[in-house]
Amino acid sequence: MKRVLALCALLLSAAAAAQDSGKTEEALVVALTQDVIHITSNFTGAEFVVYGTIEAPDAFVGADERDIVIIVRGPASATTVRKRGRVSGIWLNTDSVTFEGVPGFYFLASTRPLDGIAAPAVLKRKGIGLANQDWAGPKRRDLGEFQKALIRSRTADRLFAEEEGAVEMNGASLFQTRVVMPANVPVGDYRVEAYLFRNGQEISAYSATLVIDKLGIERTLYNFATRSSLFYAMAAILVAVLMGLGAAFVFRERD
Amino acid sequence: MQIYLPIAEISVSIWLILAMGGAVGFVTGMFGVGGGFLMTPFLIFTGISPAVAVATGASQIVASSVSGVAAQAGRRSVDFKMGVVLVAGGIPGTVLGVWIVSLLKESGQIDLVIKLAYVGLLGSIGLLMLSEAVRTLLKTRRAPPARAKATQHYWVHGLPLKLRFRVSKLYISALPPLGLGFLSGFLSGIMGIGGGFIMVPAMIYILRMPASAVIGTSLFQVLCITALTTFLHAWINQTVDIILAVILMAGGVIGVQYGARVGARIRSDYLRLMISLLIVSMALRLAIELITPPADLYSVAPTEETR
Repeated sequence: MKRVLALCALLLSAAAAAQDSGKTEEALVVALTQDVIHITSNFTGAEFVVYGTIEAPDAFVGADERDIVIIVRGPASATTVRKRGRVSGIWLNTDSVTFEGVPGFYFLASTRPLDGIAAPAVLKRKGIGLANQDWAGPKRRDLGEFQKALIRSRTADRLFAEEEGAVEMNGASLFQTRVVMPANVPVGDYRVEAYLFRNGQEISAYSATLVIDKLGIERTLYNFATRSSLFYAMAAILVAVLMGLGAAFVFRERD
Repeated sequence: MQIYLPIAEISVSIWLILAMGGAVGFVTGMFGVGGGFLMTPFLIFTGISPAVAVATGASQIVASSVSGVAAQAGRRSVDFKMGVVLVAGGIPGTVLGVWIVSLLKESGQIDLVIKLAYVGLLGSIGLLMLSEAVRTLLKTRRAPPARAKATQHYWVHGLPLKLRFRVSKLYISALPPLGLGFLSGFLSGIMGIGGGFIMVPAMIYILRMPASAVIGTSLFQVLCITALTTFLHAWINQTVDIILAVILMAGGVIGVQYGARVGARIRSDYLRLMISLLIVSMALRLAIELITPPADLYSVAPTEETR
């Protein structure tokens, strides 16, 4: 019910916005069922819905000509990929590449396979799709191999996902998709982007933010550990000693 | 039942972690040896990052050792004077080890160095203990046990700075225990282990301490060194996950009590044989890992926190 109401409000505001600016192009409006995700002690991952509407002044364009792509990106950080090689019979890291600005989470959903939505050059420019990522790395011929390995590893950890066809259209203008996050998602600021394509051209884009943060005891402990680490270190040892003494007392020999 | 760990930043099963703590605690109590070299690989296997595994594993060994020392102290089998000398040597060793780890992390070779250190150390010490244990077992089967003479003289007795250790019934130089302490502290800092598996054979074969005092004293030394390791990691690297540690401790302190009881009932020759087999098999497993081709040549390094 809350979602329906929110959607109605969204539709109204979008309609008003379109009228005000006198735009003739379609506009995209997007919202999330949650814009803050709290990590508490029973956190095992998160699931939310990204939904929105296409505000189309030109109602003659059929729904089948429009394509929606939704992307959720986690906080970016420098990430190192190592490659192992055999040196006198032992496998060890012999090579490494560090990429800048790799998102800790990347989820993409689209109405249909990306190659049918827009030309590769368009997708590449926008960084749409895991295959079209262009993270800054050192100049070398086999950079692509390292990038593929990074995507393979993150995909296996369910931190990267690409679901072509997962954006559902309800009628000509309403759409939604479900985003699933594993428990090991990085904490931080996320960006949710939505793109509207028609005939291979980007018509409209919309972006929203999402925050993932620790709450309650998880947050307290995390802050304690990082902000007053000296006292945390003392507390950690005290806890260990007390646990050990407590156990020795409970299990003392009664003879 | 799943629980989210605030520092490790993953969700794990409480029962799995309890069982792991219990198993490692049992081994610790039984042999006075071996929290870290089992715990660290166990934790990494569940998906916890190596840095958190090493630091949190160390804090769990603190609890297990406190419990173990308390149990042993009741039997008057802890030579505190010897322990203090060992720890005095261990402190600079630990600091040096932790510092070298931070240097190696930069170059990306830390995993290799840790694995090679494990294979080399566990392998050589394990084989040494194994052959010794087998020899004594074969000997005792033929003849009544020949007691080692406490007054036996060899190079250790020629060193200066002699101290009297009453519980161990020794009158030896402080230099060998200081050196041993330094070595085990260094390895503790590098490998995230207590160093008991080096201390126990060294106390028996180099210091010639009576077997009755070895386990309690080594537990005491391990306790001090892992407390220092925990402190340094929690303070500098912020990698001690207290929730994970408490679950591991709950399992560990129970395990160590039962382990100590079982250990007290088993003949020390068999005990040595068992621990040497455990150490050798651990070394073999790691050696195999180093020489078999990896499933994926590439690996993604854990990202440094960027907040």
